[in-house]
Amino acid sequence: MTAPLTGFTSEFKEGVLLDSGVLYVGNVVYGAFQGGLKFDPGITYRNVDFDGKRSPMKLLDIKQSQMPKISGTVITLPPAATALVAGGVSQLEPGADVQATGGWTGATSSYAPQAAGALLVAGDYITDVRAIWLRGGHTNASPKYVQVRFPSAIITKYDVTSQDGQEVAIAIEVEARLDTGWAGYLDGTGTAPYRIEYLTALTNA
Amino acid sequence: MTPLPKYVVPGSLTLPSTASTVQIYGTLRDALLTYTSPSSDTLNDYVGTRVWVRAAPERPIFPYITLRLDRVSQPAYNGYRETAVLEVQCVGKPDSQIALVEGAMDIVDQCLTALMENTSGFMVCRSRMRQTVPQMTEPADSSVVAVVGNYDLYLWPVVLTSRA
Repeated sequence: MTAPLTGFTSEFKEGVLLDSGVLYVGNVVYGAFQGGLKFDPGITYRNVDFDGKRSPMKLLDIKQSQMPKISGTVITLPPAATALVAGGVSQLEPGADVQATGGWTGATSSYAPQAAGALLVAGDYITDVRAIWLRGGHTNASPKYVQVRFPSAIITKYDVTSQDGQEVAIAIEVEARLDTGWAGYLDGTGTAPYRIEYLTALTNA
Repeated sequence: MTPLPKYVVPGSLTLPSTASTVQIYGTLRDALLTYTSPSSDTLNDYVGTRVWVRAAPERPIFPYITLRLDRVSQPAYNGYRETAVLEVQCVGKPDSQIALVEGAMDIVDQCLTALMENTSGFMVCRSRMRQTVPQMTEPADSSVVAVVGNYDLYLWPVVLTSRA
């Protein structure tokens, strides 16, 4: 008798990731999500072309661009200003302001997006966006997580969709932004705007 | 160490383990009996150690819990991964035990929907369907109350991942 081929190994539990994950901004949980999180590094490669080329060739690939993105559908829009704002920055729109007074309809708290046409400033960006998943080797005594981390990011897209008999769904897309202040930015030797990290604690070091 | 399930030979179980069906039952039973809720409740507070595999003994002490496992291997994983439904029934008599029965099942809910056992093989549970069993009337025993929960698990059990 011959056992079937399998990708299962003794390392399986250390490598497998579980559940839908949680989005953090700094050490603050962003909210409750529906359907999990998706991370796409958004990498495009170009294989240099030349006359007579018959196939993509080794050593001619250039990593041309990156558009790292975390997307998901959040079902909470907390009313408290402190919950809407992480690190002093609006979570839904860059540059938005949460006003305790002065709402158009006399609301006690209003979310005031920034007018279009202005260049964003450093403080408009979200710091330390982290999508975190549990690893299969996790125990309470020996916690194990994996995170995708954007040191600097903005929410580039969101929409609000109500659903009959269900929670309102707010689909968001968070894109990483490379900090041009980092060493190596201009000569291309700097780091990418995201990393995948292995953690033993949920809190951000 | 919690008491052994009935008919299990002392010393024959190494828990937690997924190396055999008997050990999977033992692991689930052990997880239930050793779980402490955030409010410091344990299943022992409700049913003692009366967690039986398949069926309770004759003339049982109430309330008690029974476990029954239905398992399906999936061809997509060449039979290495399986999904399972663990049926947990908590039965009380007389009907004044309904609060004990519901309370015990709350502990079971908390324990099993957080279950991730990775010591031997891999076993995870996150969801369930729970129903309060309708109370019978004559000629059935109208003093029996019960709650049944079906817990969805997925496993990479050693008994299937160690084939030659």
